Amino acid sequence: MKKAFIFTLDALFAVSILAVFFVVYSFEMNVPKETYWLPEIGNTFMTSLDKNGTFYQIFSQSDGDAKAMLSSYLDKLPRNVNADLAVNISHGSGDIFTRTRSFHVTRGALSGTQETHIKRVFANIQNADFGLAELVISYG
Amino acid sequence: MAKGFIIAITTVLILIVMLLYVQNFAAKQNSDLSKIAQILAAEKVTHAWSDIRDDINRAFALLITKEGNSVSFLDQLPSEGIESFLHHYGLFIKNYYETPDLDVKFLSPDGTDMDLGTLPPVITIMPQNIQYYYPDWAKRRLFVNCSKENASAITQIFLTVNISNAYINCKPVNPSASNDCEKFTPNRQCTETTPYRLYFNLTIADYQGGFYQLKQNCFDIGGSGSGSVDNIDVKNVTGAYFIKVEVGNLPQILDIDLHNVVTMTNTTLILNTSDFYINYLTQLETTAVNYDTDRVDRA
Repeated sequence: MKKAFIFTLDALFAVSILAVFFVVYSFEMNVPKETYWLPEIGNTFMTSLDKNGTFYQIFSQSDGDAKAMLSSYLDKLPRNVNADLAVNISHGSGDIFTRTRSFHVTRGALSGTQETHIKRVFANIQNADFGLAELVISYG
Repeated sequence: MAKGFIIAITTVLILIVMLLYVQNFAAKQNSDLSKIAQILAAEKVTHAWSDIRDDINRAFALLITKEGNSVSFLDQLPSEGIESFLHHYGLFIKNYYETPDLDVKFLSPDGTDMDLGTLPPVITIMPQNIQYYYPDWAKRRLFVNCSKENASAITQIFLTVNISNAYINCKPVNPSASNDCEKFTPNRQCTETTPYRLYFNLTIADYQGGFYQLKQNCFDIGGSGSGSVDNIDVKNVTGAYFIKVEVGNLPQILDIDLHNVVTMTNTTLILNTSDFYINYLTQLETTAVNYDTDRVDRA
């Protein structure tokens, strides 16, 4: 009786230790720590292009030149990051916006999970042209 | 029996401690995740604010600096397309830039949500209620207004006009010109007993290096009708123009009419106190909808 009681307690103890390890392990594995860096990388990348006037230059460039320029910037992202950068330019007239240009550049294939989406707006004030750059990045 | 009982009790205690540890660990992990999500939300809000602020500032082409008892307006005049831009920009932000988790608002000086297209071109210095404004967003004319009650609040104005598309065509800058640069008509000079007076310092520079500084600097601004008016002749390849500078009368302290001249003006008001604040054209508020995180500041 006594022996069985102790065995039961031992088994309970072992199961509890396993349960603790299981909970800790599953928490550690399920928290995608790397994903925290994606918004940082994406925001830094897009803010750099916005502040240094890269997006604004698109207004005076052909689609081909703009794509080449943006591709060269995408290549500067960390190697383990894949990206899709879409640029849409619309002209405002009245309350209506008409899309006048649209193109995108990519690097690698997006994972489809744990993606980060970042937008930046830019404008040609005199012509009422408005650009929207949308970046989607994920780890490759 | 006693030994088994102690072992059993010890085991149960260890189990309880382990379960408490797991509970604590799980709570801490959840708390960390929540904090990280809040930091990311705050970053998103800040980046969005900065992104929009840059476009708005580029449109206004106006930099306001407050330092001690002075406030400076570095302003590009005239402008083109601001009104249409503001209308469309506000719509574009609502329709294409905002996301379900990001809200953008343009606020009036009293903090209410406003349509960017209806933004009045007025900046007010409070509580003295001194207004720096344009009649419209074309920015071809610039006014500074102040009530008689607050007239003593402004002790001096420094105005520098840098002309980029014309040159000064009056004497002494151009000795062969037919007019003097300084020819106020009417000319209301102040005396020591003038109740409402303004010390006004004008400097004009052109892109050719021409430079003119006003000699007279104290004006009576308390009269009625027109203030002291100087039409400063300027010229470019297509024709002759003039810049009208009118000092007074209250409540209008200053009126600069640029006609077709493109300038960068720097207007510095020296006040009799540093106890004032500025109601900017608009305030920009970006909010992370799912978190208690926002940024509100002058745009």
